[in-house]
Amino acid sequence: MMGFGRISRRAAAGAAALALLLAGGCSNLITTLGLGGDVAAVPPRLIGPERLRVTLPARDAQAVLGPVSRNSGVTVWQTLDGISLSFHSGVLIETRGLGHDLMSSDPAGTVAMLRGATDGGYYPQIRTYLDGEQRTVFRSFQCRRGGGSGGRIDEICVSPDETVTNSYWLDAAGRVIKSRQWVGPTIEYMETQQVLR
Amino acid sequence: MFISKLETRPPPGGGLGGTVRSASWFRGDAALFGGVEWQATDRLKLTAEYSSDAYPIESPSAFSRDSQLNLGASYKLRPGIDLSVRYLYGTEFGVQLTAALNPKEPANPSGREPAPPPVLARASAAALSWPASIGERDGFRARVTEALSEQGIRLHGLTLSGDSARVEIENTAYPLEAQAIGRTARVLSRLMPARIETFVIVPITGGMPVSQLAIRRSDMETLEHDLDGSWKSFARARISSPEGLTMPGPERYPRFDWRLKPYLAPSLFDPDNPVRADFGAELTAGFEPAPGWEIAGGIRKRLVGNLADATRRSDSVLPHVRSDFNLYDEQGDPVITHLIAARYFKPGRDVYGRVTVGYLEKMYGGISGELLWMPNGSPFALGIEANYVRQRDFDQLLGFRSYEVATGHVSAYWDIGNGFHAQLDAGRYLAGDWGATLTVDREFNNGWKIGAFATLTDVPYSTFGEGSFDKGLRISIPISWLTGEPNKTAYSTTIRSVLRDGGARVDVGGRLYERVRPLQEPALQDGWGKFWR
Repeated sequence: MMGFGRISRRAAAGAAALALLLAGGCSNLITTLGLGGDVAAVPPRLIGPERLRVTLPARDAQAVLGPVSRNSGVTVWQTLDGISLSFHSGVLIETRGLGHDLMSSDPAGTVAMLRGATDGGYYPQIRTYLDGEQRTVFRSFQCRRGGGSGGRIDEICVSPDETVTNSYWLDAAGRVIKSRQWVGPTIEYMETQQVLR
Repeated sequence: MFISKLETRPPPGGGLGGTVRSASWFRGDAALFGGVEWQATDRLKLTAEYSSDAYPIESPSAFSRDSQLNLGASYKLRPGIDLSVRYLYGTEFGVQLTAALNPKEPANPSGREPAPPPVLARASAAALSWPASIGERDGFRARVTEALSEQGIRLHGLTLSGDSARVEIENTAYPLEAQAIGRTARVLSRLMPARIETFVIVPITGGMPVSQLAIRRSDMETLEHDLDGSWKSFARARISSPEGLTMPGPERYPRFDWRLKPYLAPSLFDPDNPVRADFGAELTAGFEPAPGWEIAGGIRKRLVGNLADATRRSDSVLPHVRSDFNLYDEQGDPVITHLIAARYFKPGRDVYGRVTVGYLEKMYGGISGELLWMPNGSPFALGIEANYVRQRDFDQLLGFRSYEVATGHVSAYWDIGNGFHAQLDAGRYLAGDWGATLTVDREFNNGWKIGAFATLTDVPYSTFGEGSFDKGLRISIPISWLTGEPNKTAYSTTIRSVLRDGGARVDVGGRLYERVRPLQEPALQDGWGKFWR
């Protein structure tokens, strides 16, 4: 497994350092001064052989993740360096460790749409993030099924701030095998693909 | 002019500063001045100004004034960063780069710390495959200790009774205590025997139990991926004040810790050189022989710096309790920053106590005692502190000077709301003066603190000297805000235009209010957004 965390973490550190006009790329200095993190990544304790390849185009980062937990229909996948992504039926509901994480979301409408259980109308999607003071903020979207062909289903979601398009590729059994999903305002889109091992 | 008494302004100069000179307002010669500003594009702003001030005192000694017209341009390079140029008085050219920081906009709002361990539901396949007794086999305590330690949390004590596990923790990493509690509960869900249904998590500081949070294990299992899991889990946690003592595990005490770090000590506003600094190495060590006991010390060795170059000597007519700082900088290298033995204790459920003996700070050694009454969830707290101290030698080694004084304060703390905190300290200060200090801080939930303080004592303005009374600003920037990494360190500084001897307090470490408050309500609720992070 590769860690996309390593790449994205450095990019984010650079942005923070620039803010105070510290020297760029000074992670060694930060560690020496005792200013780094006091929590190291714990290697993932995998519970299955499946793998998920994830790309963050806006960060130019890629990683392969393995499953570490299944609880109430949600699978948590983790990189070697401690970034985790949670999916419900292939729909992204949480990220941890990306710097501007999707803290939680309600996948019920999207999951129903992917199963063809909606009439083509709008359904709500609520997402929560942390603001700059680390307080929970809710963002509300109205979503509907868009176009799509060749096993792909598009979902168009509109909030007061943005319009995003999520795409899901389903296999014959209706499982999501590939997707392009919007994470949040700074991470933007995430591409996922199941990897067979 | 319309009113003849406005025609002459009282002469400048005189006075000590620190007072409002309203007698000068609207007095003296008057003339027309003004300017125009043109927002040429979204990023470019042009300004022109006509100045009628002839600068009879400043021109030509400070600059020459050949023109009454000033021109400027400002360009927004990116949000918060502006580059501006100006042409002043026909002779002066200036360039300025401004970078603004907004405490509410860190680069990484949710932090970059590694993901927390997932909750392990008792009904899951992985949990069911465990042998029933896995929880209490040999090495159980060691595995809990290690799993918490991986998360930056120190296990202080662990007791199982009936269907509940009482876990005392010390948070060494997270600026918001709620995150340490959330990670502790996640770790416990992975390791506790299946019969355990309630996690009682007790945050500890200085060996004192501060809060007690009862969290149901089944709530952890069902709310982990809930849309509103943060609020739901807070609403279901029962938070109270713990009774009685801690129950430390056998491996917790004694504990020895040391650290070698660089330090930077700046000094501002000396008229001879407004920015001075020392840079060097600092070795600190701490020893905790038993719960509530802390023995700590630190030494510093300068590597480079120019603090010792300051030549201004104190002209204070008060005892030189602070104003000899230049002598301390000049004669001290290497120095013992502090060398203390402290005892923390809880004489009552909502009462916290501290006694500290030794070399308390750079300039004073002696004994300091403090009591704090602070109920969980109350916006008010009351404290009392008494110190008997003797001034340390300028070389900051083991010797003392002859000045001795008893000081002490009664302190009232008030969490006003909306991030504002007020503190009023009344009592006796280092120079033997009596008075009070009012401090108001704006605290951001991410750890930024910006505040102002002022001290008025029975020292007359004329005796105090320049500035008339002690006042200043203090600012604290958390390292985690800059890096996004979990780290409880903050860069804190106090900005005073001048440091004199009236209204000065002993700077003893480990004051109780700042230790206890983050572990109590309402700080826990304010940080609960990070419970699941």
